[in-house]
Amino acid sequence: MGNKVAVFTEQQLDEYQACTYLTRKNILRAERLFRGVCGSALPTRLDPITASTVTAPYQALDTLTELKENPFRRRMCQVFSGDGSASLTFEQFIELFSVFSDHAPRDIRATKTHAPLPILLFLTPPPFPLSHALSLIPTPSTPLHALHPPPTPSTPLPRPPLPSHSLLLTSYATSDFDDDGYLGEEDLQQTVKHLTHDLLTQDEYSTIVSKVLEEADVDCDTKLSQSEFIHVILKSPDFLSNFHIRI
Amino acid sequence: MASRTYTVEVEGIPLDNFTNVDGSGSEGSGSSSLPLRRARTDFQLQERGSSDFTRCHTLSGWEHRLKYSLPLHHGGDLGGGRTLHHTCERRPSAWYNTVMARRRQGVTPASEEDAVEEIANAMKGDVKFMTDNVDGELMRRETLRELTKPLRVKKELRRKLTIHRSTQAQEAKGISPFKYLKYTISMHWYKLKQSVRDTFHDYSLWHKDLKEIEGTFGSGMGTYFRFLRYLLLLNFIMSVIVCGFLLTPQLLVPSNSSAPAEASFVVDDNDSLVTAAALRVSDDSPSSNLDRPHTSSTSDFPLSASQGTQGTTFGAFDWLTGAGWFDTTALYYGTYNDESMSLIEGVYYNIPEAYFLVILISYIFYIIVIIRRVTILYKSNYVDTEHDVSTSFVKKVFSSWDFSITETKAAIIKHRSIYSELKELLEEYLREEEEVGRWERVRRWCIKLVFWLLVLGLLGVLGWATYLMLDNAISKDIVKNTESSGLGLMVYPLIVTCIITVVPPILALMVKLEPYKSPRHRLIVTLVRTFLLEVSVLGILVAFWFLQATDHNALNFITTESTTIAPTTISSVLDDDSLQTDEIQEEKNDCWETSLGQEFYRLLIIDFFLSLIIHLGTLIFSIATRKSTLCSNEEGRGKLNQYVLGFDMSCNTLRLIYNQTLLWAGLFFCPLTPLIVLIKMFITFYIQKFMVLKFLRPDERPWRAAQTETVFFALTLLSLLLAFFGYGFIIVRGNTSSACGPFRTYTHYIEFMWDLTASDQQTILQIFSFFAKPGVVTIILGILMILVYCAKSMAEGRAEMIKVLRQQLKLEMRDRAFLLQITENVRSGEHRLANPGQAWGAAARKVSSPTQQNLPQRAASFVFTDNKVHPADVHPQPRYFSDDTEESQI
Repeated sequence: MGNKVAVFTEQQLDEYQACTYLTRKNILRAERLFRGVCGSALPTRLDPITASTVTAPYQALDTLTELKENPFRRRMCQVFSGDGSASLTFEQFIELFSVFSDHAPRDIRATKTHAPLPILLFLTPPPFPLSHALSLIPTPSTPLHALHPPPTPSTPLPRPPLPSHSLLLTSYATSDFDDDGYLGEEDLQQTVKHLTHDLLTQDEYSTIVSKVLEEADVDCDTKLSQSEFIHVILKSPDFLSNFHIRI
Repeated sequence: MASRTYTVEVEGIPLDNFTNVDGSGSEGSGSSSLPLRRARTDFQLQERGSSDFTRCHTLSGWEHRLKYSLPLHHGGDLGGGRTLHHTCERRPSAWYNTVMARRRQGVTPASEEDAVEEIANAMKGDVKFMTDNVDGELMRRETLRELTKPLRVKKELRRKLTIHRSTQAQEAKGISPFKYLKYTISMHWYKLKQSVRDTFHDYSLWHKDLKEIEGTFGSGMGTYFRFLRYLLLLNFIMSVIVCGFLLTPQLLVPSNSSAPAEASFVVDDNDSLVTAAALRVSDDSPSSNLDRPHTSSTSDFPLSASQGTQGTTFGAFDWLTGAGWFDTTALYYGTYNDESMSLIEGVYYNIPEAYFLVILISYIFYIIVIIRRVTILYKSNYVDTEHDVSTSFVKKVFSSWDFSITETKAAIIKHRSIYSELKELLEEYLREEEEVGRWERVRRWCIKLVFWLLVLGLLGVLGWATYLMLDNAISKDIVKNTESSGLGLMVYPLIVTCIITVVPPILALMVKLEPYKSPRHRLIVTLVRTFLLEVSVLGILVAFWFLQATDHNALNFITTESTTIAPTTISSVLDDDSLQTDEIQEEKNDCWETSLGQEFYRLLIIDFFLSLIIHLGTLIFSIATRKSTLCSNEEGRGKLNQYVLGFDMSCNTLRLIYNQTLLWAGLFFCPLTPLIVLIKMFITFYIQKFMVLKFLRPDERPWRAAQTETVFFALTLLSLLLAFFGYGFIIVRGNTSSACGPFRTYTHYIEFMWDLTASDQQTILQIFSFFAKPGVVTIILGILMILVYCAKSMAEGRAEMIKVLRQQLKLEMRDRAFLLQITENVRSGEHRLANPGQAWGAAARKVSSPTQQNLPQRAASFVFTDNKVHPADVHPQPRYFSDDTEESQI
């Protein structure tokens, strides 16, 4: 217990617990992992300022047991790093694990309005009113030029900090390889490529992409918006069981 | 009206409540375009302009809107209120609305601090959100956790809220200290609960093992072990109940009455023997009864030597056959007392009642728990996902990667399996396109039918064979009167277990010959067939003994009568050892419940040993094959092929279900089965974990964890229900053995039931006869049918509705795209129409055409190719334009 207290103050731990889905033990374990990744650069005591400034480079994060086999690891780190560099501070690091933790509410489907049989109604726990809707709050600090389309389409804009804390948004952002806020054909193809180690032919890729769009693209604009994605992903029973990282 | 257009603007969140807020807000700001633009201040809209322009050709209304509407002054979100109208979810809380409203009014925070300030202020303003009770605290906590903000923002927010609340609390403190106290206490209680839950989560059974397994093999494999753990915990609870309420009193009886042992013999003639047996039990109860299955796996049994009496000594093979010495222990139905016991004067514990109630409660407990589980699984995996457009590709692409995988080997396998699944889906999709002829279909049906008949025939033959064998073995046993340690008893369970082991792979092979389309169907068909096999074999076993008992009882009725007439002779014989053994021998034959219990015991034990042998075989085999592949490894073969054998999950799961079925079937005759199965499962877990992690490679087949789990549980439930109703039948119709067991004073089980419900017999009978009337049955059936019909048609109606709505959505999107194109053209002054009325008429007619067939054509003629359609602004507005400002602009 002694060394644990030395790393964080009680207050810090409380704070982390209140703001993430991790338990105390998880946080301490994450700290050990982070320390292993960071090496000697990290001071023994992680005060709040260190926790939000010292970053672990992606090359180091890449070797982490929990991440190293994940085909989307780079993307995940990018999403959480906020600046596309894919290197994470400790706080961002635990945010990542918080989203994928077991404790994050996974019963989003409970917010559906209808239950087919009345008897099933009392079997599902009551949904938490805010959890779903709140996750969709837009970030406030949007640059002004966003209001007008930039003249040249090719220049990628710096991504505003988007650590999306809900699992759905994270998985959405993870698939959004070109950072344009939509899952276009290119993104879908990238996703499939990552999944299959690029073994399919181009024809097969385009067939798969077109089938996915056919199934999910409600408004026929050849790309998936967030709401379309969420709508379709909640129908997949495997999604919630597959999207977690045990720490 | 102005507000209407952008109510649903923010990334599809249904913000139903915005209309009012916005209406006032936008009017105040004077420009109806501003709120709309501000509402778009989200990251993903930043690059809307960067998206490829050519995609506009695909009629993307959204894109068009973004492209063309924003430079305009009026936002141009045409009919946004109609798009993306989700099935209404929960309304966001008030503070959230406040934030959003401010954004709409153009109050965009410039920096992060401002944003924090804004959200905090909004939160403070929300009364419900700031309430000082546990609900409020929970709400705050959850909100903070779900907020899409960096951690530092959250921390800052939390600090602000805490400060605010503490000042609030100080103000409020003087008013109601009691409330404050209540809040503090409940908050502490909540925290305590949370920490206890966390601890349980972290230290739950096999938490680490499961993590390791899932890390190596993915959550499909995890499902199997989780299922194992679930059954194990269930059996643990049952063992506790059985041990607590049945075993302990039973063991206490003799120790209580050991001093006046002779006195207790006067109760009944048959009783005396059993009490003597029970006495023996009590001598070595602590070690032998509780740890039996443990010791049974170790061959040296220390207690056997100390037993003096012949016939009850612990034979060399007793632990295998479950006969002999075990007959006299509390393992089986036969040894339980039929009387009340009392440790304290005046307080009685009726063992027959306890026996009956414990068994009944266990069944009901099992049924409730498993039904609950099945409904939850069914609901989440089938009902919620049914009746909609199939989403198989989406599922594959977005949710097939298992984030819990940590091993390279597993990752490679996962990649490969996803690849093959996608391939398979593609093939299926392509095959769907080609039409299957009628004759082809008929042929397939015929093949399936033939195979089903073949399988059913095979099952029938197997069942008949087992029946014959059983008949043969038992009659031989009775005739020859073999000694209790005879290994002849082992033949039947050995063969049954072999059948259970050998036949399922054959069935799995057979299914491959049949024309089932997807491997999923094949899997389910195999599961069902294997299940049928198990049920038929076990059913025949029970039926055989049941019939035996009824026959036997009918034959021996006179003899038992005669023995009860002359009790004195038997009690005088008691002293003689040899006669006693004969008596026991005979009683064993009499006590069909005990014999059946023995059968189940043997089946369980043999199954355990056979699986051990199989595991050993695979171990040796995989070690042998590993070496050979290691040699070929140098030629550049992947590490993956190191082990040849895979872990056949369906087979293993069926074994688990078989075990559980044995438990349920044997529970009544051998009340300690939960304990045996518990220990067996415990050992199995570790063996299998070891095997899986060290010597096997994972299944490459697609293993859809969630849905297959539902099938497993459904089969489990089915077997449980079968067992339960089987017992119901036995209870109602069966005869008790008059020589043993807790119900020996009754000739039928049903009589005990009557005794239990002594006073209300008439009413119960009346109720039963009322429900048995044809009219009542018809009415009940009719009501059920109507209910089912209603449910079904409602579901169908919903499916229809979804289809219609989707269609409508599509139509509207296309209309909008079309209109936007026109608007843009007109705005830029490129096109003027010579005869506007005619063109508009054509457009309107086509727009309003509801059928799908017209859609592509319309799209083609109006947007893709025909850019010569120019509706004039002077003409009547299409009905989709709801915004007045919009129209005036045009």
